[in-house]
Amino acid sequence: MNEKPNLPEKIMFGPSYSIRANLKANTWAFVAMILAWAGDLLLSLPRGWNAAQRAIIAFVPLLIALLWVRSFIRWVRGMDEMHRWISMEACLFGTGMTLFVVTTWHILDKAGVFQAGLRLHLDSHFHTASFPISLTLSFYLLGYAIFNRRYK
Amino acid sequence: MKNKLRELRTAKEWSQAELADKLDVSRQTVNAIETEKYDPSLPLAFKVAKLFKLPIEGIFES
Repeated sequence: MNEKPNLPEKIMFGPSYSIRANLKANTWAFVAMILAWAGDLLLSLPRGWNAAQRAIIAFVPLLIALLWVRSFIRWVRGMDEMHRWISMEACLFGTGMTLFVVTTWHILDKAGVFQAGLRLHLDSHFHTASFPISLTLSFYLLGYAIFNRRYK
Repeated sequence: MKNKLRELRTAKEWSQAELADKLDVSRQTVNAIETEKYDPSLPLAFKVAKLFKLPIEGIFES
């Protein structure tokens, strides 16, 4: 008999949660998030970073996020077919919604809506690496909760 | 898709978890197939048919 299939519930907080499973699937996501936050903090410091240093600080979290994509794909491959299907739908929902929010935000920002209408300066927050990573994760979890209900 | 999975499973006195174990899927997947919320792929349908020693059309019907 094969190994037991990976269950998405094991990486979501609830009665079936397993820290071991979560680390297997999401370690690189946690590392990417921590590095993204640290990078945002470093770049906000009043220090004279040169262009190469700035590029490394800004880009490393995204490279780490690619490692997370790889480990997450492996995790999804270990699921049974129905959960794999739900996860694929959730991934599409997560990336699609992130694309929508980021594009909308950019368009509204470029049109000066935030500055003129809401008197907000969200631009600096929008351009941090942690923003799209956390947005994708949040939309993935939301998508999973929505699509999983269909098969309950 | 209609199927006789629940009848066949209860006839063997297996729980959903036991059947899930035999098919290498989760208990939720077995439940979703039994309640006809999810249609299994052809490889999984073959696996079910092999487990119950029945033809696929003897278990699943459109």
